[in-house]
Amino acid sequence: MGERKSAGDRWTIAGGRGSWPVLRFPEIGSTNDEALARARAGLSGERWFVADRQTSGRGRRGRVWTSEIGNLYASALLIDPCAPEHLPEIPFVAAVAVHAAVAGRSAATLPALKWPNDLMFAGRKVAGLLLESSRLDDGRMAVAIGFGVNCISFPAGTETPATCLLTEGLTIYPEVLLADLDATLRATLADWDRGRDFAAIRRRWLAAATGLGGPIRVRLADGERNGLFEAIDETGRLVLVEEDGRRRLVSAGDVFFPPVGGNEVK
Amino acid sequence: MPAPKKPFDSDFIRELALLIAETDLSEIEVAQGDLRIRVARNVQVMAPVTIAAPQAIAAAPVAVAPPVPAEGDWSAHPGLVKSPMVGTAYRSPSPGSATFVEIGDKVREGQTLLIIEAMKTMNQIPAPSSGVVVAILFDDASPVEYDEPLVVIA
Repeated sequence: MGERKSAGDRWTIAGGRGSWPVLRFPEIGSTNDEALARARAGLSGERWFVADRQTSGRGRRGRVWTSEIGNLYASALLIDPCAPEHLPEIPFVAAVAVHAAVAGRSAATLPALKWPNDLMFAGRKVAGLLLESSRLDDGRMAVAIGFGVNCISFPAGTETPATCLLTEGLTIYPEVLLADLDATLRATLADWDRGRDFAAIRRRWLAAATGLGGPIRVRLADGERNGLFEAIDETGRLVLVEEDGRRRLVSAGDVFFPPVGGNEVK
Repeated sequence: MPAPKKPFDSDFIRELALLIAETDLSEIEVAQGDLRIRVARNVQVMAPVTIAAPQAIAAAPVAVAPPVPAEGDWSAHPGLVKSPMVGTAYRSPSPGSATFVEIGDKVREGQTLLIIEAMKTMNQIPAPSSGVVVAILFDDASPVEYDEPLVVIA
């Protein structure tokens, strides 16, 4: 597989055998937007869309994702990855994959996962994911998994404190991390087997989870709830045990952890 | 229990006729108890009617119309967009930004009408066909159930 030119974009190969093709941009609005736009334009098959810099990178609910040069901004495009009922499992597949990629190069401190798919070092966020799906005109489903990994810098003053790999003692260049992520994502997708074995993904997610069994605060679209973070259920929903003992299943919300000594770790 | 026979309420039918004209629909059918009223008008169909296969995501059969207030019953409307999943529905890409669509907007097939967040995946819900948004049946940032009516396009 050699390098190809396509509309001024550069195709490169991420790493080992079976790697997905990479479409790389010096600067782009959002790698997710580009991935879904290309899917709508007829692109089929898995691809990476990578940008050195995003001008309108974003997180959940349109929050700005600061996208300075030196960090990894990459979207994996999947076409028809599974039956619709298994789509909500993909955030966990992606979370397990990014955890494996970073943990594979970690030394003393291992990263942990915060529900559903933030990657944390000691309560500080080092990577975030944003998944977007869109049904294409021909009925196929396109899913863009956007990975934002802070390699050498992180924003200050965020609601959830941030960190970067460099601060955590890890020097991993975005290109290198992408090659690792390409491998771990493909392997994790294979294990997941289009949803036939989400149980395996769930076990791995739980093994890497932070805050299990402890108190959490969950901000939902219609208010906040406090309780204990008991588990995730067999579809990935957060199981919150409220103070009155009632169990509430959460499928969308922001999770915060209560103060550990000093400031609240969110 | 059979509903007591009542004379037709002509005001109600007049209201339906007004609603039809207002919304540019070609017909409205409502059911209340045993009473079922269908009001239709002749419309010059300008664009060829697409007989596309219905999206599988909204393929659940329409239940027998429940006795709900006529003005809220869109369940039999062919342009009804229902929720393909359980999640949280949003009318705009981010809080405070412009909504995807408003009532009266013209939309083209495939245009994003709303987003449903499920497990931190933002699912863009597209217009199944081109037309005009005649009803938006959910509140921003509200939980929605599978098959819940969301938007009506006529």
